Amino acid sequence: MRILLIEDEKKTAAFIRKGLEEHDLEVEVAIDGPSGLALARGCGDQRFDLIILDVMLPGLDGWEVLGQLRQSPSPPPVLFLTARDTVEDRVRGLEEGADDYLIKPFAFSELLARVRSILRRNRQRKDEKLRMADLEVDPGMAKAIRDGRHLHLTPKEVQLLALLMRNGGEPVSRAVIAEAVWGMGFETNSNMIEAAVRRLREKVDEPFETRLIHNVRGVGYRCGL
Amino acid sequence: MIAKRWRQWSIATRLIVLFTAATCLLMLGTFALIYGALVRHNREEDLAFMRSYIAVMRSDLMEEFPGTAQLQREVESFQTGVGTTALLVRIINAEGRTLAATHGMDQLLPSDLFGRPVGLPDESRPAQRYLATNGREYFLMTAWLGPANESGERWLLQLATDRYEKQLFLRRFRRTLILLMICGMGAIALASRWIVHRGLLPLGEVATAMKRVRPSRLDERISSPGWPSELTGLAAAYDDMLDRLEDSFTRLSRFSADLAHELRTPLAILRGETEVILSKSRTAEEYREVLESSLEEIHRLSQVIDSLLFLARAENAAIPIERHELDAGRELTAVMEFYDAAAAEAEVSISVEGGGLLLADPLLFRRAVSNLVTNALQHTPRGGHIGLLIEAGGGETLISVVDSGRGIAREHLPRLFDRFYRVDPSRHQIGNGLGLSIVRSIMQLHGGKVSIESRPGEGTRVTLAFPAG
Repeated sequence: MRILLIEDEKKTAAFIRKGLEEHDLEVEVAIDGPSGLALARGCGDQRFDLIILDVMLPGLDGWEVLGQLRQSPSPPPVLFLTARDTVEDRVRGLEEGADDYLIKPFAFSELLARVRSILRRNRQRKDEKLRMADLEVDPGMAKAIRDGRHLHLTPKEVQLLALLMRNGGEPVSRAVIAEAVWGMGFETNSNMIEAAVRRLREKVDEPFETRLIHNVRGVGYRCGL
Repeated sequence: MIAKRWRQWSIATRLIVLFTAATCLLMLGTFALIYGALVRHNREEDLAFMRSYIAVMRSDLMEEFPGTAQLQREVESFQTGVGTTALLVRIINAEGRTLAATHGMDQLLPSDLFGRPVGLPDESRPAQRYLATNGREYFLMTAWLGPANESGERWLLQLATDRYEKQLFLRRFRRTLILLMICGMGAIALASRWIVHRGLLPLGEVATAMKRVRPSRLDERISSPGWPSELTGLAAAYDDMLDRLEDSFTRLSRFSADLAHELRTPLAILRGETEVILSKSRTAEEYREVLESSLEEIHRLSQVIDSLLFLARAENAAIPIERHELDAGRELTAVMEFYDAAAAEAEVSISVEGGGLLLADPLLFRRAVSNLVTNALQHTPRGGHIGLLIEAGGGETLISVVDSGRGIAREHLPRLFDRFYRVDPSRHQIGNGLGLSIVRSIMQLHGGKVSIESRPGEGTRVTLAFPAG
């Protein structure tokens, strides 16, 4: 998976690159609009699977890059980063063809989650059965089975478990969980998520020997061995 | 252009100009009336005099037809003995021959200037006005002197009044009036200047009083029983403004202090932990521990900043809201599900009661309710209950979050919605003290209201009133 990161702020570019590369993603960085655009168009068969685009760029700003990218025959998906958390900005970005957006400052785990979700889009259906070790979750049927035993989960708990499993062992932040499972797309008290995860663990982990749901301190939760 | 300049004029100038103009107009009107009456009176007097002369002559000549010499005497006799009206008289016969005439009249006012009387023999022509070569104005009048005599002869009387004296008087009178006007105007302007200046003195005093108010002396008030009634309203309004200003000023400085404290705590932890861990070599596990803790503090910091940004934008109404018709019951159930696990742990039950539709931004609505439930959960002891109630009707939909918690003392209620306000600052509480401020902002964005009632020991009820439609 190749990702093009167009970001002029060096520290930001460096940590995003490092973070993504450690998750086995190939990252190339452009530090201004024109060079980013050239890279995005340039390599014919070496196409990028995703472009992460900062809105405030020297030379050519993010909107212009986005506009010109959209004119090419089959443009790669774009995730744009903005420091200005105004609805107009978000709406504009999405209207001009960006696939998702993220507001600075963001948690790296959230960036990773969104990158994964874009890359995975169209490849995985939402109600596809998920498997991890002896755990099997069927989000479509809202049921979960572990070691052949039916776990009595509420629909929300199935959603939460499916979310964690889909992220393939990567931690998912509390904010992402709150938004994806309960539609709470704003800062909420993290205690509620903690309580929900504790209860999920009681049902999914406690009766069994191996723990599958882990707390990643300061970040969120992950599902894995 | 003129209107614009007029608006820039001082009140004093405006008043003086308007006052003077009004008085001058009044004077002008009065003078014009007087003068007009005088002119009319003079004319009527002249005409009446001429008519009465005609009547006298007719009656004099009724009995006998005098000879030319006697006629001339008769004519001459009138030249003297008449007051200001100099009368010129000529008598001619039907052929136009002059029988008698005032001396010099033929040169000044030749006979053909006078038209012949029309209609009945005893009718006189109305007077005509004539400006003679000597520069004087005359009224001319022609009349038959009577019926024809035995020889069939009829005489015609031509009269002229010299209006010089009267016009001279009128001219002088006019000049006096104009002079009076000019002097009056000046006097009125001066007088009104003085009056206006005196009248506006309290304004200056109010301004002086207002100047005493400074950021460091916001407790100054300018209302006093000494102001004239026009200014008491102004002074009271100004004092009201000062009250609000002082209030928000106090809140603002308290807010800055609270904000600094709120940001300083996580910063102090970040700094301290990092300094300590860097002071000597540690194991990877120890570094990890500190970095994880740092991440938590950073999260806390960004939450404060995000909330403040939200409040700032809401205050400037820069958050566009998308109103949707929401099923209140369903929305509240969704919120309740979010708190399900936490409430179960705290052994607090939550229920949704009632139903109805409401017009609101779904995300903001959930945020407001969720902030309230977070607070309720925090303050409700084990075994307690939290009710999410919906009441629709009366032009609004009421959403209440009712808990059976500890309640809040009365004195805290008015300040609960202030940013960072905490009922008990010493006790560590979850959240950053911005939750209720955000609820209030969300309600303001919706044109609704939030109210709070509480009884210590019994519980608290927070009600969100959403206007319908």
